[in-house]
Amino acid sequence: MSRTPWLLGVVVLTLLPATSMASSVTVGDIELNNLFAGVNVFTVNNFTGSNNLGFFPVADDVVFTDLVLTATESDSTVLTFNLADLGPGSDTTSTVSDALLFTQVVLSATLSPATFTLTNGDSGTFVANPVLSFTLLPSSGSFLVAGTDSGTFDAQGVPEPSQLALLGLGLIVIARFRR
Amino acid sequence: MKHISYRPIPALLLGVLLLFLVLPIHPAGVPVLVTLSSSVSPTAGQAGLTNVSVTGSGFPSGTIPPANVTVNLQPAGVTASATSVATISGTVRRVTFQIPAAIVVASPTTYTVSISGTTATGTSFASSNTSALVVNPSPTISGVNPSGGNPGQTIPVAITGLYTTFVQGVTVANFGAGISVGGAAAGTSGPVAVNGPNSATAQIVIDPAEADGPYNVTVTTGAQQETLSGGFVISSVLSNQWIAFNRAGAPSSNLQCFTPNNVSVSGSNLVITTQLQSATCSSFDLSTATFNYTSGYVSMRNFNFLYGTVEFRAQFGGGANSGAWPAVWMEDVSCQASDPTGTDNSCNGQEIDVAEILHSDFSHVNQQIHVNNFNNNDGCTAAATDTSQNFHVYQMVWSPGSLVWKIDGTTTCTITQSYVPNAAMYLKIDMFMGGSAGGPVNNASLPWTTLVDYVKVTQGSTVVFFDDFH
Repeated sequence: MSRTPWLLGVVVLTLLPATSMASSVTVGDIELNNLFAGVNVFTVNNFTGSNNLGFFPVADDVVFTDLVLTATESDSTVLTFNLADLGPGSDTTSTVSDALLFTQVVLSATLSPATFTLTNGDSGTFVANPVLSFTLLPSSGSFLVAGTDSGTFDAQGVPEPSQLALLGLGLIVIARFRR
Repeated sequence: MKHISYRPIPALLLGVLLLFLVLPIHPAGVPVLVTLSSSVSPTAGQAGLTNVSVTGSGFPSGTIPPANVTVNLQPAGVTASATSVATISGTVRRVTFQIPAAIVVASPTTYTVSISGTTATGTSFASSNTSALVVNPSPTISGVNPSGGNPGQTIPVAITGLYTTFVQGVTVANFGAGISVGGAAAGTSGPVAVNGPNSATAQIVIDPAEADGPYNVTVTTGAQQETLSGGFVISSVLSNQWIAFNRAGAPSSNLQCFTPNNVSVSGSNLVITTQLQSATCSSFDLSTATFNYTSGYVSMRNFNFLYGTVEFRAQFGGGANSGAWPAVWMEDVSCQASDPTGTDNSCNGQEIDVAEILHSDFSHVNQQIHVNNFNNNDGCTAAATDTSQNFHVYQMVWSPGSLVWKIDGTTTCTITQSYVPNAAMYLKIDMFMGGSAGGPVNNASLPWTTLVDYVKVTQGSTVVFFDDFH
């Protein structure tokens, strides 16, 4: 009997843990907007919880703690904004002069909790890396443009222990077949 | 193997059926429903100035020109056009608009925001819920501290705003002619250190030759600007130990404007003048109005004390049946720090009247406490030779649970009560007029002149405050 069908099955089962759930899910976005003439504002939105607009996948309330924005100006000057914890469905703003030109802004935060329930097509429990990091770069040109540049950022998934066990078992079986 | 022939017509029908199942079909005239976030961003702003964004999901695909989107604010019933529509992800879009200038509010007011519109290809959409927006009144400068200075001084001045948006590197302040801010040329706007959206500190230098009087303080942050009229007073006649107020009176006696021009130092005396003079003024508890009289009112700028002996030598202005109501009194220190324009009429409900003339009876001196929000008002009425014609030395010894008043060294009143104030206080000297305490004002008796030779505060044998007005 050919071993090929068995091997194919094992390979599929082995890869299943990696494909059964999204590897990342969107939890928020960061934007540069104009507040009024002379003043721009960095806005960070938390798109988790009951106010996820029925669109974003994280149904549980997740808080961004230790939220820090690090904006780099064209002359390499760095502005750091240490922000308060950002709860689900809310936003936080940091005002800056509209005369400043930024080459990038880096967002860093910690997700709390880092395990949450998904909805909207991605269902089940998602185990995320609690460390959140995102860099907003100009969509065109060298500098961020108010009202134009924004970006969503994702929580990155980490495999659950059971998934890792299944993956390891599959790899062992494949190795035995190849001998 | 059985051959299956290809039949194009049924396949086409099946394809069309699948297309209808997959694509959302919206009958003409029925808008696509959009779900909005619970609040806009930022959550609050100023009408006619602030751009805010509302995020929603479920928008139809395709280009949405901003001019095609109408933002409706209730209960004002005011609409605005979007200034931009940006796609965040999938059907999620952000609609930005400026809060309409037509909205005028006296206090922060919550409005509901809904949207409707069409795509470039004509698909209509409308929000199925509303988003909250707080519209703030126009920003103001609620105070500067200190509210005045002497010519030649270099001092930091704390600026406190209400509904302001101070931004480091953007916000500048202007204190008027002869005053430099943050190193900028005198009379121009200069940079300030921003401590928060409602707090900034201006480092100012007052020209040694600059004239006495009130100066407007204007703070500008981009398109946002607010002015505190007469908010900073230059006074060359008083030491920096005193503030000369520039404000209206008090609700209980509201016949006069207090102006720095009625305070001077002359002949080794502090001179407070009260005169028949039309003036317009306001205060934190009184609207802007024009009055027939002006008078003077000074307060200790920084010094305050807990227990000790306060002593001064003075001759009060006015006279019998003049309607004058002069007073030297003390209030709780809690008011002093936030007292740039005299916002101190009821300081924790703690007041001690060291010497006060009531009902124009200048042969008697009221010596009294008003504590626990005027629930305890112990005091005495001490006889003295006409206090409008004679200098007397007034003294008050303040100890824990005890107050002893003296006039020219003779004890005139003693209060021993547990509710004698036990927190630091500061001294004020003024001339109110009229009202229930002053009586009808006799214009023929004006002007009045109060003279104070010196003010001294001692604790034990240590003089902790002294001004002889030289």
